[in-house]
Amino acid sequence: MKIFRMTISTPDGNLFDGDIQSISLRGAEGELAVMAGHTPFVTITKPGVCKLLLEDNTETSFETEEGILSVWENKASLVTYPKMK
Amino acid sequence: MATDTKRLKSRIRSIDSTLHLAKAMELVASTKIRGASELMNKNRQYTLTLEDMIKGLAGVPECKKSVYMQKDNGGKVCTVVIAGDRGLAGGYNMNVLKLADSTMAEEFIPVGKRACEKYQRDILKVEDFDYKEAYKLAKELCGCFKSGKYGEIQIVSTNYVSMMTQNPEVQQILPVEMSEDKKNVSIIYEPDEITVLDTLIEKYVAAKLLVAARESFVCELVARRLAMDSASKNASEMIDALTLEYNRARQGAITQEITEIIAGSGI
Repeated sequence: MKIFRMTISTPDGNLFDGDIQSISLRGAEGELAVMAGHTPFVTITKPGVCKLLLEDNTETSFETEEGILSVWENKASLVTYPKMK
Repeated sequence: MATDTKRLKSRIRSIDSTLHLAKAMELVASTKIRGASELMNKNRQYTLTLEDMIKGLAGVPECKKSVYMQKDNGGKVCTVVIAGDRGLAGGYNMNVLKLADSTMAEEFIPVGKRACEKYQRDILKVEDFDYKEAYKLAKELCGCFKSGKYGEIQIVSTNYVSMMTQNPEVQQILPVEMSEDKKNVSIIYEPDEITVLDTLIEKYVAAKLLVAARESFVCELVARRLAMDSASKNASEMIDALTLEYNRARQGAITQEITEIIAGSGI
């Protein structure tokens, strides 16, 4: 499986920074998943759970507020705010 | 003579308490610096990511029509002034406030107790300025910019370069600078460029405000530490000089007493 670099950054530091296989979350036009080699794109994400499939096939997830996901050549970043409690 | 030594003694005592105060403030400031600069660094990363995105978007032709990129919409110039909460930090507050005055802005939004006092607004402490506050302010600013009330939004804050250098500076945040970056044209934007820009802009302004506030806070602490360091140095020097004077006076009094006793005994 190909991997790519993913960063989830919030105003209080990075929630996640590392290599992953895929990320799935709720985008502006519905559920979406991004894998390595995706064409460059930027989208608004809706509040919800963002699931990451890590290099070692384990899954991890974060609850996030509205944010913006941008995908560049094999590098993706999500800027958001952690779910307010 | 006796009154002289008494006066000197009480002066030494009062300077000594000033010395203690200065040292305590210096220690408090240095402890806070670590935490504050950690927060600042985390925030810088976040802001850089957002800045990259904005730059990418600013190069897209569709976005050039966005209200956030229009110059000279006839609105007022609004300046967000970020100063400290407390004094005793050398020229820190004065430098920022002086720079703010020189911007010729028509409206000021102060952050930090000292700035709020100057512009007579409700007090908003820079130490407690978090993302929630920043976002609230950013939303308001973006709303005013969109409606044409403000034509330009700037931040006046102190830029942290290193432990030794901090410069007060003016940053323009809105309208967004045009960028001639053409390499981002092939990017797909969902749902469309303008919507992404509109959502991004509030976060970008909030991030800019927050990072400026946190940088300023670190600068305030650094300035205070420096000021308190020189204050305690001066106090020690003064105590040394006064102790010398005190001892001389005391010795003089003793010598005089002995002379009087000897003269009185009639030897």
